[in-house]
Amino acid sequence: MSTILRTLRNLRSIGLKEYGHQMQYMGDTKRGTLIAMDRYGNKYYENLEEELPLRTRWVDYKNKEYDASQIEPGWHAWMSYLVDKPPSEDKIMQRQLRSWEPKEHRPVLTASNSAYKPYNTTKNKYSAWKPAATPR
Amino acid sequence: MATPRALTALARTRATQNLTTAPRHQFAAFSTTTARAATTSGPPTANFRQQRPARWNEKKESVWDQAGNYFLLTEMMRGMYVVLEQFFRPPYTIYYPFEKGPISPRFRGEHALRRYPTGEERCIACKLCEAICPAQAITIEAEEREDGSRRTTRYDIDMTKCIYCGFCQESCPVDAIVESPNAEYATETREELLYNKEKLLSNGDKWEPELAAVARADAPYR
Repeated sequence: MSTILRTLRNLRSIGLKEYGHQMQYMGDTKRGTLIAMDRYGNKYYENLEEELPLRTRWVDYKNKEYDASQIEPGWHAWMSYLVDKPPSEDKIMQRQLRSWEPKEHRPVLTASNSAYKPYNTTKNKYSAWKPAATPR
Repeated sequence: MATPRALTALARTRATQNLTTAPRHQFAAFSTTTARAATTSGPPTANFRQQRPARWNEKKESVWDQAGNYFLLTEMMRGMYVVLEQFFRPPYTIYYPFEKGPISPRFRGEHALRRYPTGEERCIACKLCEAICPAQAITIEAEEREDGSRRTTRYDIDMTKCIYCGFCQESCPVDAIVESPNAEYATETREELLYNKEKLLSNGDKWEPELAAVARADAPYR
């Protein structure tokens, strides 16, 4: 629950559709400038003037089943107030600069078939004993 | 053997003006924006803090007033008014995961193995991280690669053992093992936290933009 004036102000600013969307997902209404959309499809907003500290940057997730790991690297740093400039303005945090970077962003895939399973990266140091009976 | 007196005399003779009078902007500045006050209405006023409340023998009001306050529950009403005030204020709760709390560039989260810009992996299997790990969470096996360079064949970190002390990244001579600022890798099963070399390398590939930003932020202090 927010103050009535703040809610009405944000409702007038963002419109009924976005109001319903924000209340459904975030549970609070916010207005701000759209900074950028990352490759995954999440939208990032910022409002430094009106919002309280640490509530000035927020994300509108692409998926209905949102998860914090869906935020791309770089944008994660911006969301966590680790850097001042968003990756759209900061070259060092942009992706696909190096050929060996992964092509698409993958969130944490735990509890799915694609979840990481640990495996051995070396050959076994010993082998099991195979019983062989000599013919009598 | 140097006595403390001799050391302080030595310190006095050395010129320290360079450190104190050096212009601060000769280092690469990390922050590129101006400072903001902690509240939207600016810094707090001078008499922001409350005065010491009056003790029982310093009370000015009469016994009848005190009895009236006691029996009419005025303090309870005042307390409930404070709660009511909060109802009409904008919430300052951080709405995770839509908003997030701040983390430092030195945050120690999930581990990653970095690569050189050419794509060559950095780790040279010196096993310093394995030796210094206080929880003994790292297991390394090394072998000679076909081109003659020394590389790891096994680099396992048991993330359930790790205590996130950061000794591994401090001991690493080639900045291969780092702790990325990512802490959102919660898993369903315990097994998924036993990272092997492939997983750590793919972590490094994924988080390299952010690892580069973290290294840039820490560069003036190294």
